[in-house]
Amino acid sequence: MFLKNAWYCAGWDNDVGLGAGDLVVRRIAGRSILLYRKGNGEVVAMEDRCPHRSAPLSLGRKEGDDIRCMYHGMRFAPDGQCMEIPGMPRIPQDICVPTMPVVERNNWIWVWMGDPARADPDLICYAIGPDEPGWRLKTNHIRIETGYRQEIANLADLSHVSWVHGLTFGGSEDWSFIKPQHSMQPRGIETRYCVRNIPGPNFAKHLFPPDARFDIEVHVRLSVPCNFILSFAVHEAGDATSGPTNGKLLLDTFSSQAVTPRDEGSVDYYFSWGTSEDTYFPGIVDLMFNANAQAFLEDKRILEGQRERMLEYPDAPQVDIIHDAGPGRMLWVLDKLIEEEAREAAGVSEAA
Amino acid sequence: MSAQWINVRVREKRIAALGVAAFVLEAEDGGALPPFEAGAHVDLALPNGLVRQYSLCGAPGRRACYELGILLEVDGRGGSRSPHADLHEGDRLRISAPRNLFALVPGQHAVLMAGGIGITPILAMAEHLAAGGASFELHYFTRSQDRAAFVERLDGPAFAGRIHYHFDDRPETRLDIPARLSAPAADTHLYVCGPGGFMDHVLDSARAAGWADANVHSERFTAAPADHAADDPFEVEIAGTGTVVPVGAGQSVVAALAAAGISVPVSCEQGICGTCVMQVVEGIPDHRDMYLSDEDHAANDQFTPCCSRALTPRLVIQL
Repeated sequence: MFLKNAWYCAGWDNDVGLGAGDLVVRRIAGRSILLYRKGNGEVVAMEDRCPHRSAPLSLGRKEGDDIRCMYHGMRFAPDGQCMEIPGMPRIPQDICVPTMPVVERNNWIWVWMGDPARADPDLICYAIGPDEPGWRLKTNHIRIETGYRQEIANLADLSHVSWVHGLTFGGSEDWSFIKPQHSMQPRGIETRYCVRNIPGPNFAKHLFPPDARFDIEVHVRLSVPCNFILSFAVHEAGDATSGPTNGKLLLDTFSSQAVTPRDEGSVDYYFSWGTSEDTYFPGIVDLMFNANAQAFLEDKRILEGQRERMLEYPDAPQVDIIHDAGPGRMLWVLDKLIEEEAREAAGVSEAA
Repeated sequence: MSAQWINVRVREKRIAALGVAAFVLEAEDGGALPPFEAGAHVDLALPNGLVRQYSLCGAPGRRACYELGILLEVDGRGGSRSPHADLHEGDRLRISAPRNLFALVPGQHAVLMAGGIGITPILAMAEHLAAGGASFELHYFTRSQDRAAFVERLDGPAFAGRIHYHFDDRPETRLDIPARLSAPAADTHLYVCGPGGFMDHVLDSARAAGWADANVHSERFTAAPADHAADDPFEVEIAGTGTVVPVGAGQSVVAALAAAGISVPVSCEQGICGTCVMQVVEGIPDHRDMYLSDEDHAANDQFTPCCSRALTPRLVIQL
């Protein structure tokens, strides 16, 4: 089940170029979407399916701002309207391809999969992109064969860092003992906490003395469908036992992550990570980039294994544990929005 | 994350004792039900919309059907809510998969003590122990002989010599519980289920005799998490709005809020995951969760509305 009235990330802006061959297909929430740039640079998103005989328009060619289907030559404008049917002088008015509102922001391409009249750009999640002044970020992409609900449960509960990320972000069991409070937001949850007095992550341990300890200030904004916006500030371990750390800031990092469901069991995951200009030093962002790429392979391994078992045991109940407040709250928000949409679709919307 | 419901049908309903009905449930599709261990319970979504928990009292491992014993509530509080009145042979209903919060652990000898309807999980335990040839004794306490349920099973040859009945109205059957529990042993485990007063007496006696916590196992069938059958009603007020929502005796705060059109996040509904945790501005919660720490409980400024209740007539909560 997917939420329709939501912005879905369709990738990084440089995934879609201006070239003649730049016809990019993305699977988004169970639909195949063609992305291309018009001559003025604006991105067009439309269903990748000719309304005539269902040929992929992505096998077609760009003609100015239009796209021509290369099966029987029908030509469509960026608004989806059919402009030409070779050999047929009059074009029936109802022939068109569904299009979707598109916004580019923070170097991400966002596509609205619901009612175009409700495509409010203010609903796009806050993020920091690689072009943001004051930041040094690198971007990446991974595909994971898992459901986006499982991704939500992964990202809303970072206790898994201790266990899944043994070669990368892990390095202590401390992540299992945090018990964060997740505040409810209209379209997600927000979580802030400090993990105190922990050793460095395994991927960076060699840079510090063995007894070095750190405080990590974590601030997560999770929003539908599954956007994970993370501020992760590394401090010297301070002596405060509650509230913000009083240790010196060493490395201010930021990661913007958008998980876009392709189908029920597959996601495209677009992510960045890097440091503030003020705390940057040569080599650090590349080290983080490599660790992040490896860490998400660690997630991929466990999530794809989990999916295999879930398919083998479709009716087996799962138990909750103490770390499930974040997943519970985020999935509750998602399900509430999906349910509201289903109610509206059924025409039983309650009077306001 | 969400509960997986199983569709079942009432195959048989019969009177098991004065005030106790036995129900046999089978899968609606005729297939096997999930396996369960002695001590397990299931949630029943009753025809009247309430969800309540009942222990499985059939022989563990049997998957063709589940057997439950349900007490008729005659104290004026539950008459219309009781499955005695609402549930009939052939009725369809939904149940959860079995969950076990009251499992047997390996030991040399087991002392099983059941009070009243608390016999249901204890009976499944006895079946399991007898089948495995384990050493055990079962003490069954009821107000009178005609209130003892499942006697045809208890009196069967498999349990010969192991079942001891204790009837309140027959003093010669009385058991001196502190005396029986006076000699704890490292390899002996005590299992207790029944009404609150009975359990308190048994558990206090065990504690006084020096039983190790790890050897004492109990399940409160009247006040287990999410079973609100024996709870008093109270009110919750939404801070800053003046809205007051009554919470019925058999209702969770989450259910009461939902009935008032206020939807709050909830996941496990057993006080485990913390999804539903709310701030408490005024009043004292009756904490029944496993999520909050002892310190959190003592602070009384938050609670889990899925299973916890109130010690004061009103709780003021922050949504």
